[in-house]
Amino acid sequence: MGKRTPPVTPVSSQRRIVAVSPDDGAAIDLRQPEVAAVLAWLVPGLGHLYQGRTRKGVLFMTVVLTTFVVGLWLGNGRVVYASWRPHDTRWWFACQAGVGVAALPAVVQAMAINGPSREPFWVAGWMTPPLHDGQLVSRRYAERLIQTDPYIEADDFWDRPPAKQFRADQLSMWHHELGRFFELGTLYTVLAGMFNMLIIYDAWAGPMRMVDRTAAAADDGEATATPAQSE
Amino acid sequence: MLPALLPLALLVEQIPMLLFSLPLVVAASLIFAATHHESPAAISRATLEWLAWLGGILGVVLLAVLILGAI
Repeated sequence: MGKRTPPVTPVSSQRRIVAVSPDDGAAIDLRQPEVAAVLAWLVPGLGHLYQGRTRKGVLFMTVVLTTFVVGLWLGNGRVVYASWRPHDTRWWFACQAGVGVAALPAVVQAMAINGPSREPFWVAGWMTPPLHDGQLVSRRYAERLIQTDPYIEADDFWDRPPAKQFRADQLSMWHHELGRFFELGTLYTVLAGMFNMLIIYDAWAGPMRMVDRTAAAADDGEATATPAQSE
Repeated sequence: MLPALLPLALLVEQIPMLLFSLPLVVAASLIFAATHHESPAAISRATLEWLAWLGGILGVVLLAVLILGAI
């Protein structure tokens, strides 16, 4: 793991923390690691850009955001959604949320469609959780779905003024429409979020270090030596 | 040229996830290498090492699945 050392210079106004490069032993200025970690979560690579580690920042931003966008494209924009309903808890979103701002619209959409308006904040439906059997939605959103979604027809809604009640399972429709690409898109977006968790750690504490097994074994031997062995 | 690629095409058709997993292996190798090193030269070298490790592990698993599937 990255070695964190106390501030190298006693500057009272700004705390500076450095890590040691595992390659050449050079000091890496982490600036304020907590700020860098938050920035790295918000936008992958931004924490490294803040620290002046430009090449790594650009590399991380490119790889993570490309992986996330490709996943969204494979899943037709439907694989990233937040849902904590009893029979449709989207656990994958815990990992997808690792990419930060790019996944946050899913939270807004989920809160909006489960709120009093009964429709997503962005009515286009991007990152909206699937409708389940019996769910009430606004008339406007129901009509939009009927017009734009080839799998949904007017008969799929009961009239429950002032709302409409869905009477099918939209998640099944998505699986039928996308096939294996639903899982592929989910995998890409989940991995993008998990990659960024490693990147957040790198921004906070510097490069991780491989454990030197020989040295670790020697340390363990010393630490766990019995009195008889010591003698 | 084309007949030589036929076995590969058959493999990709048989295992569609194979094609889509390759970019993920490359991306994972890059991220693992870059979070363990700082200098560009070390990152490049470590990326190749991670590619060999991840590709080797996944290749062995794939081979085992193919053999078990053929039995």
